[in-house]
Amino acid sequence: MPSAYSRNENPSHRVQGYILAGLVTAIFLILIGRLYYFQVISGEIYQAHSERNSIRPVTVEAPRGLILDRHGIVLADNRASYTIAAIPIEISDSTIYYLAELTGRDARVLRKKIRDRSLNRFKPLPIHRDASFETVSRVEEHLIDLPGVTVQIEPTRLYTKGVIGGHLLGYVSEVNKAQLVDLKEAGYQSGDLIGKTGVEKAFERFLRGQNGLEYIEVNARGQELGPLEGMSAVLPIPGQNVYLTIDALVQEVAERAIPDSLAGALVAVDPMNGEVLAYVSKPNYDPNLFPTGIPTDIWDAIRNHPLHPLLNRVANGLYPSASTMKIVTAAAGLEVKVIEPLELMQPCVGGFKLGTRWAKCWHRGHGKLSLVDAIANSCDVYFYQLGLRLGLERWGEYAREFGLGSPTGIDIGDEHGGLVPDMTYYDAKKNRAWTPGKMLNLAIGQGELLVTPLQMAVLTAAVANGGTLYRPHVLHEVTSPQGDQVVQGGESIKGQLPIRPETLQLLQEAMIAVVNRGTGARVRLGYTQVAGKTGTAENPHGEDHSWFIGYAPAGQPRIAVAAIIENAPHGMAVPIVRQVIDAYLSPDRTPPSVSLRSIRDNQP
Amino acid sequence: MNDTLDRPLFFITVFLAMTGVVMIYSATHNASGIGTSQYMMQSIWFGTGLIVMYLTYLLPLRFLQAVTVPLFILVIILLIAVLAAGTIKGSSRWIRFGAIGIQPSELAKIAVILILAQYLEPPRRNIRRPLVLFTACILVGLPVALILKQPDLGTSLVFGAILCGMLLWAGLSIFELVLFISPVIGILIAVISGFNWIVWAIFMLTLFGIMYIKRPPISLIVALIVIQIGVGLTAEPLWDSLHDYQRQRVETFLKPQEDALGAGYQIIQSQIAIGSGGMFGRGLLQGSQTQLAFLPEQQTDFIFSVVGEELGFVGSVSVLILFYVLIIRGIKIAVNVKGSFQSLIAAGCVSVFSFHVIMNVGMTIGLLPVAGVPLPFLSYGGSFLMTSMILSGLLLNAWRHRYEY
Repeated sequence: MPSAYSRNENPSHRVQGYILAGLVTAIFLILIGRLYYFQVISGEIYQAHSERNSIRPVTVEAPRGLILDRHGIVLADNRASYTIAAIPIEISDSTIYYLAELTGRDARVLRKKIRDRSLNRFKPLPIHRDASFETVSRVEEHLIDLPGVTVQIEPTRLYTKGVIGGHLLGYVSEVNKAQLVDLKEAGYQSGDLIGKTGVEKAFERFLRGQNGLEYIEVNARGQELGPLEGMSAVLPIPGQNVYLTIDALVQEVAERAIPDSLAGALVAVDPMNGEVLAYVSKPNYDPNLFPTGIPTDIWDAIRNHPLHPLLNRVANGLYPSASTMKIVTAAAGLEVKVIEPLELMQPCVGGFKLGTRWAKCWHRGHGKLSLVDAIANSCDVYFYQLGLRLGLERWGEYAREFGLGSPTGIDIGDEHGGLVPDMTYYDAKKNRAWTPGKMLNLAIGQGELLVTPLQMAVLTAAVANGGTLYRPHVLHEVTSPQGDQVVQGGESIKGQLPIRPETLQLLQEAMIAVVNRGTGARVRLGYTQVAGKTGTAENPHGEDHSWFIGYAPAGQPRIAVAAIIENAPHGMAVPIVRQVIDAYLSPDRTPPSVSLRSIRDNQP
Repeated sequence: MNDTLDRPLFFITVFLAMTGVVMIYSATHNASGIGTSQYMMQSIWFGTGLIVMYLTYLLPLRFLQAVTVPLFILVIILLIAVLAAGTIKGSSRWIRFGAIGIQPSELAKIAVILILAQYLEPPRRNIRRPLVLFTACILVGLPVALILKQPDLGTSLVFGAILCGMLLWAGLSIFELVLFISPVIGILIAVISGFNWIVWAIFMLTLFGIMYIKRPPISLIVALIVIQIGVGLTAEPLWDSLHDYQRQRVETFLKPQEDALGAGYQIIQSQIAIGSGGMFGRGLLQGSQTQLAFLPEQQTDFIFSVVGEELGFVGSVSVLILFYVLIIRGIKIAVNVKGSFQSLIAAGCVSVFSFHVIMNVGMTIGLLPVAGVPLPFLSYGGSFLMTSMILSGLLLNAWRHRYEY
């Protein structure tokens, strides 16, 4: 209902209407006046700006943080490099062909890359990173005929030790399209470098700097006239420095100790805290190939190499643990009390009869042995019998308590958990159904069991240090470019071995016996007592793999090592571990190796 | 012919929207990848908007009054829904119904105009009573609070303009309005001046001066002084308690020139684009700043720069004059319609148009901060184009019912 009182008879409306109309008129006059000033009075100035010069925002790349070892030795640095870049919106097809000619690139590939529709067409797109001086000179010389092409000086990653530590450090390369979709929010743009594997990937968030921005005036021929006045540049912020627990010397000795012609892996950790001292996978590759774009022929050579250099064998190499597993089987036997320490098993006559099967020992006959002697001589027959007494379930339980069958939790991630088979596993595999004979294999670390060298290093460290299973870590600390500590890496305990001190002591004694009077004699060092265990993994596809796990000094362990050499003669890994332990503990070493913990504790 | 249709208003609306389609075509036609068909989308929205505008124009007064409260409630529910959906997958201003996405914050402009008109309509409402002012603030503040959370500062500010314009039209004098919004001005002054107490003292003195001349009721004076001192004491600690990113957002809004990466760059590019247009412009599809896409957001918030570059002073002033006529027609309607309800609606529509045009053009020519306020009818975007056309429809509707009350 229209009501009488809602009549719009407010007499002030006419007045207010005029006031408002006046106000609006005044504001519009101001706007028009400003437009007149811009477009008519100073229009020519802006026309000049617009016609002759355009403003180009240019990213100033921030240097990545350094990666250093525990003593401050630089492992990953930055160096200056020339990058030839094209600005997609400004470069014509004929210029692309000319540029391809000058730089020796395939013109069609280049055109496809530059004309990619998902690009930011105004941002210079790096097309030739780390161009050689000759190439840069050629391009610079013809820059006047190359509108839309720029040459920039950028920091590029330099892995100072080349192939040394390649798998550990990982590498950086241009962020790819699929990653960009997720990383746009975090400020990544096409052409940016990002850590792809290893430390570079795991600690990307610390290492990556914040790019700066500069406004450059550019004329119609694409020549840069210099920074735009009145627009302040945003300075790049360098990335943070990452200090690793790695000992560069030990790492280097280990990488050189394994011949380049062989595949293998070696991990050394500090048994008292889980700090990783060396992290070696062979064959290795040079991470310096990646930041500037790896040439196709080299990439193909690496990819098609029969030994697969890109495979990180430390954390992703899966092997039967072989006789090194006898440590675990022995511990299980003592703990569930199916054997006594001094009990003698049926004599080894070079093999063992189970039903109709004759399971061989590696030796032609060890005779009657007690536990320590069985480990020292690595007698298979003793452990066949022990395995049968234990059974799959109890054996598997202890294997898992020793950290096998699940990832170690190392802070750079990217690892396999391996496999400790259980009944469910065999039930699921119809063609590999469980038979008691399988227990013989598992007890000596053969068969379906799969472990990584990293897991074995952690296991060795736990036996050495009295039963603590550490989560291995490579991050010591992160510091700002000014040197202030930002983040401190630290030890983290994964669990305790569920075994009694006397059992542990017996295992340690046995491992000393292996070195002093058994299969591991070649690891002996004059100045310190080493303890260890050998292993030979049967390889149905070729020559056997050689294992060695060990630690030193026995009693006050400072280093625990696990090493495997693929397709190598029996015992090949033993002297390699000796070199590594020697590199770390040698009294002649200058400067002597130090425990990071003591450095840290002595700091105010 | 009947004289129920305000033909100038109708044709200006249509002409501006068509200009928008042409400018969007010019700004995006050679953009590679996304956005090649944005002008097509805008054309479709324009066609739909034309129908919706005509339907709005035809709505009976009674229907408009009946639909006001349900519409307001619906909008609040939608805004909450957007927030709830936003907490699941990040900031969002959109709500989807199948293939159609709408921005509830746009619909909220219409709903708030209608509900304020309905609430302020009866003359027995004494606009000077604190309770009435307070209720009006709540009606506007509720959707604004939800929109601010999205967060969308530019859109939130429009509601301030609606409230001021309609309060003014409901009988508040300009001086009273200034007093009314003085706490907000106080906060802005405090933040912009970097909590300089001398600036704040000058502001307070000015305020007292106004009160001395106008002599408002003593209760209002006391209330204002208490609020101002409260604001003065709490502003700085509150400001300090904000997160860095929140402070940065506000500072970028107030001082865009210091944000060299974002807003500052846009302003410079926008000024070069407009300035290079000269007297007659470089012609459609000829603007180098536009065609090289040096200007970010050129088809949305910076569409006026494209007009300036390609159509020159003549073109941009023509567009401004069209807006000017539209606003003056709106004021004329607000003055001349008999019913208070329609008059207040017209005042609300005029507030929205004036605010958007002045803020947007002021921003593109560097007079006002970059607030993300689009230009009615011209800027790319379906929800806002639709809202603008409905607002035109409401003005036409008010004129059609000018003898009713």
